Amino acid sequence: MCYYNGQKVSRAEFIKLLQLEKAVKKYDFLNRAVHNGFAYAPIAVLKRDTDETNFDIVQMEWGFLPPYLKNREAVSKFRNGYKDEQGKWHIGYTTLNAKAENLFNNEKGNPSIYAEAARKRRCLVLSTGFYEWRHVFPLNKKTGQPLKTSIKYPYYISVKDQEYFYMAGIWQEWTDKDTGEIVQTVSVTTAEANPLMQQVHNSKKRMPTILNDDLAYEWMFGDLNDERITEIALSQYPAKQMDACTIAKEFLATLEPATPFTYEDLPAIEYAI
Amino acid sequence: MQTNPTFEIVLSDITMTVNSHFVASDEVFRIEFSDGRPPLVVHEALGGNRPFWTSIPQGRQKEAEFFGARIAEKLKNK
Repeated sequence: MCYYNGQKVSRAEFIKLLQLEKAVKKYDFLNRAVHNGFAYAPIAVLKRDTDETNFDIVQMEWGFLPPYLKNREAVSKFRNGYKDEQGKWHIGYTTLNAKAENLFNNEKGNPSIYAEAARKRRCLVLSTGFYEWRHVFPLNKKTGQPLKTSIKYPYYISVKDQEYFYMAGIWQEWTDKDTGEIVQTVSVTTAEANPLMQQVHNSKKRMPTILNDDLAYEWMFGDLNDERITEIALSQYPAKQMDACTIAKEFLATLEPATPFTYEDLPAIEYAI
Repeated sequence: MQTNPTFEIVLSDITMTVNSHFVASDEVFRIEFSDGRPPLVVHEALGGNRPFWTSIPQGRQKEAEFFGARIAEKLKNK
Protein backbone atom coordinates (compact mmCIF):
# COMPACT_ATOMS: atom_id res chain seq x y z
CA MET A 1 0.00 0.00 0.00
CA CYS A 2 1.08 3.58 -0.68
CA TYR A 3 -0.30 6.96 0.30
CA TYR A 4 -1.46 9.67 -2.07
CA ASN A 5 -2.65 12.89 -0.49
CA GLY A 6 -2.91 11.04 2.82
CA GLN A 7 -5.20 8.35 1.38
CA LYS A 8 -4.26 4.68 1.21
CA VAL A 9 -4.07 3.49 -2.36
CA SER A 10 -2.69 0.42 -4.10
CA ARG A 11 0.71 0.56 -5.71
CA ALA A 12 -0.92 0.41 -9.15
CA GLU A 13 -3.24 3.32 -8.29
CA PHE A 14 -0.29 5.26 -6.88
CA ILE A 15 1.68 4.82 -10.09
CA LYS A 16 -1.37 5.84 -12.12
CA LEU A 17 -1.80 8.99 -10.03
CA LEU A 18 1.85 9.93 -10.43
CA GLN A 19 1.52 9.50 -14.18
CA LEU A 20 -1.61 11.62 -14.14
CA GLU A 21 0.21 14.25 -12.13
CA LYS A 22 2.97 14.35 -14.70
CA ALA A 23 0.48 14.61 -17.55
CA VAL A 24 -1.58 17.35 -15.90
CA LYS A 25 1.56 19.36 -15.21
CA LYS A 26 2.24 19.53 -18.93
CA TYR A 27 -1.22 20.84 -19.82
CA ASP A 28 -1.57 24.56 -19.33
CA PHE A 29 -4.43 24.47 -21.81
CA LEU A 30 -6.89 22.60 -19.58
CA ASN A 31 -8.83 25.77 -18.89
CA ARG A 32 -9.35 26.74 -22.49
CA ALA A 33 -12.42 25.74 -24.44
CA VAL A 34 -11.59 28.05 -27.32
CA HIS A 35 -8.22 28.50 -28.91
CA ASN A 36 -7.86 31.97 -30.28
CA GLY A 37 -4.91 31.69 -32.64
CA PHE A 38 -3.87 35.30 -32.28
CA ALA A 39 -3.25 34.75 -28.57
CA TYR A 40 -0.43 32.37 -29.67
CA ALA A 41 -1.51 30.08 -26.84
CA PRO A 42 -0.47 26.47 -26.23
CA ILE A 43 -2.52 23.84 -28.06
CA ALA A 44 -2.66 20.04 -27.88
CA VAL A 45 -0.53 18.29 -30.46
CA LEU A 46 0.29 14.66 -31.24
CA LYS A 47 3.88 14.19 -32.38
CA ARG A 48 6.09 11.19 -33.03
CA ASP A 49 7.98 10.00 -29.97
CA THR A 50 11.75 9.64 -29.98
CA ASP A 51 11.53 6.01 -31.21
CA GLU A 52 9.27 7.23 -34.02
CA THR A 53 6.98 4.26 -33.42
CA ASN A 54 4.33 5.88 -31.26
CA PHE A 55 3.19 9.39 -30.46
CA ASP A 56 3.28 11.74 -27.50
CA ILE A 57 0.61 14.26 -26.68
CA VAL A 58 2.30 17.56 -25.98
CA GLN A 59 1.47 21.22 -25.99
CA MET A 60 2.97 23.61 -28.47
CA GLU A 61 2.84 27.32 -29.05
CA TRP A 62 0.51 27.97 -31.99
CA GLY A 63 2.42 30.09 -34.49
CA PHE A 64 5.45 28.56 -36.23
CA LEU A 65 8.72 30.36 -35.41
CA PRO A 66 11.73 30.01 -37.69
CA PRO A 67 14.93 29.26 -35.74
CA TYR A 68 16.73 32.38 -36.99
CA LEU A 69 14.58 34.67 -34.79
CA LYS A 70 16.90 35.66 -31.97
CA ASN A 71 14.59 36.52 -29.10
CA ARG A 72 11.00 37.45 -28.19
CA GLU A 73 11.52 41.00 -29.43
CA ALA A 74 12.43 39.58 -32.86
CA VAL A 75 9.36 37.31 -32.63
CA SER A 76 7.12 40.28 -31.95
CA LYS A 77 8.56 42.15 -34.95
CA PHE A 78 8.21 39.04 -37.11
CA ARG A 79 4.57 38.58 -36.15
CA ASN A 80 3.38 42.17 -35.97
CA GLY A 81 5.64 44.01 -38.39
CA TYR A 82 7.84 46.96 -37.45
CA LYS A 83 9.29 50.25 -38.62
CA ASP A 84 13.09 50.27 -38.99
CA GLU A 85 15.44 53.15 -38.12
CA GLN A 86 14.96 54.65 -41.57
CA GLY A 87 11.21 54.70 -41.01
CA LYS A 88 10.58 51.88 -43.48
CA TRP A 89 7.71 49.56 -42.53
CA HIS A 90 8.38 45.82 -42.61
CA ILE A 91 5.24 43.69 -42.74
CA GLY A 92 4.54 40.98 -40.18
CA TYR A 93 3.97 37.31 -40.94
CA THR A 94 1.16 35.14 -39.63
CA THR A 95 2.40 31.59 -39.26
CA LEU A 96 -0.63 30.12 -37.48
CA ASN A 97 -1.38 28.43 -40.79
CA ALA A 98 0.84 27.14 -43.57
CA LYS A 99 -0.68 26.98 -47.04
CA ALA A 100 -0.37 23.44 -48.39
CA GLU A 101 0.61 24.81 -51.79
CA ASN A 102 3.57 26.67 -50.25
CA LEU A 103 5.05 24.09 -47.88
CA PHE A 104 8.21 23.76 -49.95
CA ASN A 105 8.31 26.97 -51.98
CA ASN A 106 6.77 30.26 -51.00
CA GLU A 107 4.62 32.38 -53.29
CA LYS A 108 7.72 34.07 -54.72
CA GLY A 109 9.16 30.68 -55.63
CA ASN A 110 11.86 30.75 -52.94
CA PRO A 111 12.41 27.90 -50.46
CA SER A 112 9.75 28.04 -47.75
CA ILE A 113 10.45 28.39 -44.01
CA TYR A 114 8.18 25.33 -43.61
CA ALA A 115 10.05 22.97 -45.95
CA GLU A 116 12.26 21.18 -43.45
CA ALA A 117 9.44 20.83 -40.91
CA ALA A 118 7.12 19.47 -43.60
CA ARG A 119 9.69 16.79 -44.44
CA LYS A 120 10.83 15.92 -40.92
CA ARG A 121 8.42 17.22 -38.29
CA ARG A 122 4.84 16.56 -39.22
CA CYS A 123 2.31 16.34 -36.40
CA LEU A 124 -1.43 16.34 -35.70
CA VAL A 125 -3.25 19.16 -33.97
CA LEU A 126 -6.18 17.92 -31.90
CA SER A 127 -9.39 19.85 -32.29
CA THR A 128 -12.98 19.58 -31.15
CA GLY A 129 -14.02 22.35 -33.52
CA PHE A 130 -12.83 25.64 -34.89
CA TYR A 131 -14.16 29.11 -35.65
CA GLU A 132 -14.39 31.11 -38.82
CA TRP A 133 -16.14 34.31 -39.81
CA ARG A 134 -18.59 34.61 -42.69
CA HIS A 135 -18.64 38.02 -44.33
CA VAL A 136 -22.01 39.22 -45.56
CA PHE A 137 -22.36 42.49 -47.47
CA PRO A 138 -25.79 44.01 -46.79
CA LEU A 139 -27.56 45.80 -49.63
CA ASN A 140 -27.85 49.56 -49.71
CA LYS A 141 -31.57 50.27 -49.17
CA LYS A 142 -31.62 53.04 -51.76
CA THR A 143 -29.45 51.64 -54.54
CA GLY A 144 -29.85 47.92 -53.94
CA GLN A 145 -26.08 47.55 -54.32
CA PRO A 146 -23.99 45.70 -51.75
CA LEU A 147 -22.36 47.95 -49.15
CA LYS A 148 -18.56 48.09 -49.03
CA THR A 149 -18.42 47.09 -45.38
CA SER A 150 -19.36 43.56 -44.47
CA ILE A 151 -21.07 42.23 -41.38
CA LYS A 152 -19.12 39.33 -39.87
CA TYR A 153 -20.91 36.30 -38.41
CA PRO A 154 -18.94 33.71 -36.43
CA TYR A 155 -19.45 30.00 -37.11
CA TYR A 156 -18.40 26.98 -35.11
CA ILE A 157 -17.29 24.18 -37.41
CA SER A 158 -16.98 20.58 -36.28
CA VAL A 159 -16.82 17.08 -37.69
CA LYS A 160 -20.05 15.09 -37.48
CA ASP A 161 -20.16 12.30 -34.87
CA GLN A 162 -16.57 12.93 -33.76
CA GLU A 163 -15.73 14.36 -30.39
CA TYR A 164 -12.38 15.45 -31.73
CA PHE A 165 -10.50 15.28 -34.99
CA TYR A 166 -7.02 15.77 -36.41
CA MET A 167 -5.66 18.70 -38.33
CA ALA A 168 -2.35 18.37 -40.17
CA GLY A 169 0.44 20.36 -38.58
CA ILE A 170 4.17 20.94 -38.83
CA TRP A 171 6.31 21.91 -35.89
CA GLN A 172 9.55 23.68 -35.18
CA GLU A 173 11.60 23.98 -32.03
CA TRP A 174 12.58 27.56 -31.28
CA THR A 175 15.14 28.85 -28.77
CA ASP A 176 15.18 32.32 -27.29
CA LYS A 177 18.91 33.06 -27.47
CA ASP A 178 18.66 35.68 -24.71
CA THR A 179 16.94 33.54 -22.08
CA GLY A 180 17.55 29.98 -23.25
CA GLU A 181 13.78 29.36 -23.32
CA ILE A 182 12.97 26.47 -25.68
CA VAL A 183 9.48 26.09 -27.10
CA GLN A 184 7.95 23.89 -29.73
CA THR A 185 5.88 25.91 -32.18
CA VAL A 186 3.32 24.64 -34.65
CA SER A 187 1.46 25.68 -37.75
CA VAL A 188 -1.73 24.09 -39.06
CA THR A 189 -1.71 23.44 -42.80
CA THR A 190 -4.58 24.74 -44.89
CA ALA A 191 -6.21 23.59 -48.09
CA GLU A 192 -8.72 25.14 -50.45
CA ALA A 193 -12.12 25.36 -48.82
CA ASN A 194 -14.64 22.60 -49.54
CA PRO A 195 -18.16 23.69 -50.63
CA LEU A 196 -19.29 24.20 -47.03
CA MET A 197 -16.22 26.17 -45.99
CA GLN A 198 -16.34 28.26 -49.19
CA GLN A 199 -19.55 29.73 -47.84
CA VAL A 200 -18.48 30.03 -44.22
CA HIS A 201 -14.93 31.32 -44.68
CA ASN A 202 -15.99 33.26 -47.75
CA SER A 203 -13.31 35.93 -47.46
CA LYS A 204 -10.34 33.60 -47.93
CA LYS A 205 -11.98 30.34 -49.03
CA ARG A 206 -9.48 28.22 -47.10
CA MET A 207 -9.87 25.57 -44.43
CA PRO A 208 -7.57 23.61 -42.13
CA THR A 209 -6.40 20.29 -43.51
CA ILE A 210 -8.60 17.84 -41.60
CA LEU A 211 -7.37 14.26 -41.86
CA ASN A 212 -9.24 10.99 -41.47
CA ASP A 213 -7.58 8.28 -39.39
CA ASP A 214 -5.70 6.69 -42.31
CA LEU A 215 -4.32 9.96 -43.63
CA ALA A 216 -3.48 11.11 -40.09
CA TYR A 217 -1.39 7.97 -39.57
CA GLU A 218 0.33 8.40 -42.93
CA TRP A 219 0.97 12.11 -42.26
CA MET A 220 2.65 11.40 -38.94
CA PHE A 221 4.48 8.12 -39.57
CA GLY A 222 4.76 7.79 -43.36
CA ASP A 223 8.08 7.96 -45.23
CA LEU A 224 6.75 10.52 -47.71
CA ASN A 225 8.18 12.44 -50.62
CA ASP A 226 7.40 16.13 -51.18
CA GLU A 227 4.61 15.36 -53.66
CA ARG A 228 2.78 13.07 -51.25
CA ILE A 229 3.21 15.51 -48.35
CA THR A 230 1.67 18.26 -50.49
CA GLU A 231 -1.06 15.92 -51.69
CA ILE A 232 -2.12 15.04 -48.13
CA ALA A 233 -1.90 18.66 -46.97
CA LEU A 234 -4.12 19.67 -49.88
CA SER A 235 -6.76 17.02 -49.15
CA GLN A 236 -10.23 18.37 -48.57
CA TYR A 237 -12.31 16.86 -45.83
CA PRO A 238 -15.81 16.13 -47.22
CA ALA A 239 -18.34 18.89 -46.57
CA LYS A 240 -21.10 16.37 -45.90
CA GLN A 241 -19.16 15.06 -42.90
CA MET A 242 -18.90 18.50 -41.33
CA ASP A 243 -21.26 20.74 -39.39
CA ALA A 244 -21.25 24.53 -39.23
CA CYS A 245 -23.51 26.58 -36.99
CA THR A 246 -23.62 30.25 -36.15
CA ILE A 247 -22.63 31.24 -32.65
CA ALA A 248 -22.84 34.45 -30.64
CA LYS A 249 -20.42 37.20 -31.65
CA GLU A 250 -19.15 37.35 -28.08
CA PHE A 251 -18.24 33.66 -28.19
CA LEU A 252 -14.65 34.12 -27.04
CA ALA A 253 -15.88 35.45 -23.71
CA THR A 254 -18.64 32.91 -23.08
CA LEU A 255 -18.50 29.74 -21.04
CA GLU A 256 -19.84 27.54 -23.83
CA PRO A 257 -18.58 29.12 -27.01
CA ALA A 258 -19.97 26.43 -29.32
CA THR A 259 -23.59 27.12 -28.34
CA PRO A 260 -25.65 27.75 -31.51
CA PHE A 261 -27.01 31.25 -31.97
CA THR A 262 -29.48 32.29 -34.68
CA TYR A 263 -29.15 35.55 -36.61
CA GLU A 264 -32.51 36.55 -38.08
CA ASP A 265 -30.98 38.51 -40.95
CA LEU A 266 -28.39 35.96 -42.03
CA PRO A 267 -29.14 33.90 -45.16
CA ALA A 268 -28.75 30.15 -44.66
CA ILE A 269 -25.78 28.30 -46.07
CA GLU A 270 -26.59 26.31 -49.17
CA TYR A 271 -24.20 24.06 -51.00
CA ALA A 272 -24.44 21.05 -53.25
CA ILE A 273 -23.24 17.80 -51.73
CA MET B 1 -9.27 16.94 -24.58
CA GLN B 2 -12.37 18.44 -23.10
CA THR B 3 -15.05 15.85 -22.32
CA ASN B 4 -18.05 17.92 -21.25
CA PRO B 5 -19.14 21.49 -21.80
CA THR B 6 -17.88 23.84 -19.13
CA PHE B 7 -20.34 24.11 -16.25
CA GLU B 8 -20.78 26.23 -13.16
CA ILE B 9 -21.62 25.18 -9.62
CA VAL B 10 -22.88 27.96 -7.39
CA LEU B 11 -22.35 27.41 -3.68
CA SER B 12 -23.41 29.79 -0.94
CA ASP B 13 -20.23 31.86 -0.93
CA ILE B 14 -18.29 30.71 -3.98
CA THR B 15 -18.87 29.80 -7.63
CA MET B 16 -16.90 27.01 -9.26
CA THR B 17 -16.33 26.96 -13.01
CA VAL B 18 -15.51 23.40 -14.04
CA ASN B 19 -13.88 21.94 -17.15
CA SER B 20 -13.49 18.19 -17.58
CA HIS B 21 -10.75 16.60 -19.62
CA PHE B 22 -9.31 13.21 -20.48
CA VAL B 23 -5.63 13.18 -19.66
CA ALA B 24 -3.55 9.99 -19.89
CA SER B 25 -6.82 8.01 -20.26
CA ASP B 26 -8.30 9.39 -17.02
CA GLU B 27 -10.87 12.07 -16.44
CA VAL B 28 -9.78 15.10 -14.46
CA PHE B 29 -11.73 18.22 -13.55
CA ARG B 30 -10.16 21.64 -13.49
CA ILE B 31 -11.93 24.09 -11.22
CA GLU B 32 -11.63 27.86 -11.24
CA PHE B 33 -12.99 29.73 -8.24
CA SER B 34 -14.77 33.05 -7.95
CA ASP B 35 -12.85 33.96 -4.81
CA GLY B 36 -9.57 34.10 -6.68
CA ARG B 37 -7.88 31.10 -5.07
CA PRO B 38 -5.61 29.12 -7.45
CA PRO B 39 -7.35 26.73 -9.86
CA LEU B 40 -7.61 23.13 -8.63
CA VAL B 41 -7.39 19.91 -10.65
CA VAL B 42 -9.26 16.99 -9.06
CA HIS B 43 -9.64 13.33 -9.95
CA GLU B 44 -11.67 10.48 -8.50
CA ALA B 45 -9.17 7.79 -7.54
CA LEU B 46 -9.53 4.38 -5.91
CA GLY B 47 -8.35 3.85 -2.33
CA GLY B 48 -8.72 0.13 -1.70
CA ASN B 49 -12.10 -0.42 -3.32
CA ARG B 50 -13.48 2.94 -2.23
CA PRO B 51 -13.41 5.90 -4.59
CA PHE B 52 -12.17 9.21 -3.23
CA TRP B 53 -11.51 12.65 -4.64
CA THR B 54 -7.93 13.80 -4.71
CA SER B 55 -6.09 16.86 -5.94
CA ILE B 56 -3.60 16.54 -8.76
CA PRO B 57 -0.87 17.18 -7.73
CA GLN B 58 -1.01 16.31 -4.02
CA GLY B 59 -1.39 18.98 -1.38
CA ARG B 60 -5.01 20.18 -1.50
CA GLN B 61 -6.82 17.08 -0.30
CA LYS B 62 -9.47 18.79 1.82
CA GLU B 63 -10.49 21.07 -1.01
CA ALA B 64 -10.43 18.14 -3.46
CA GLU B 65 -12.79 16.09 -1.27
CA PHE B 66 -15.21 18.97 -0.79
CA PHE B 67 -15.28 20.35 -4.31
CA GLY B 68 -15.02 16.89 -5.92
CA ALA B 69 -18.17 15.85 -4.06
CA ARG B 70 -19.98 18.91 -5.42
CA ILE B 71 -18.97 17.91 -8.97
CA ALA B 72 -20.22 14.36 -8.38
CA GLU B 73 -23.58 15.73 -7.14
CA LYS B 74 -23.88 17.99 -10.16
CA LEU B 75 -23.10 15.21 -12.63
CA LYS B 76 -25.46 12.79 -10.86
CA ASN B 77 -28.35 15.26 -11.14
CA LYS B 78 -27.58 16.24 -14.72
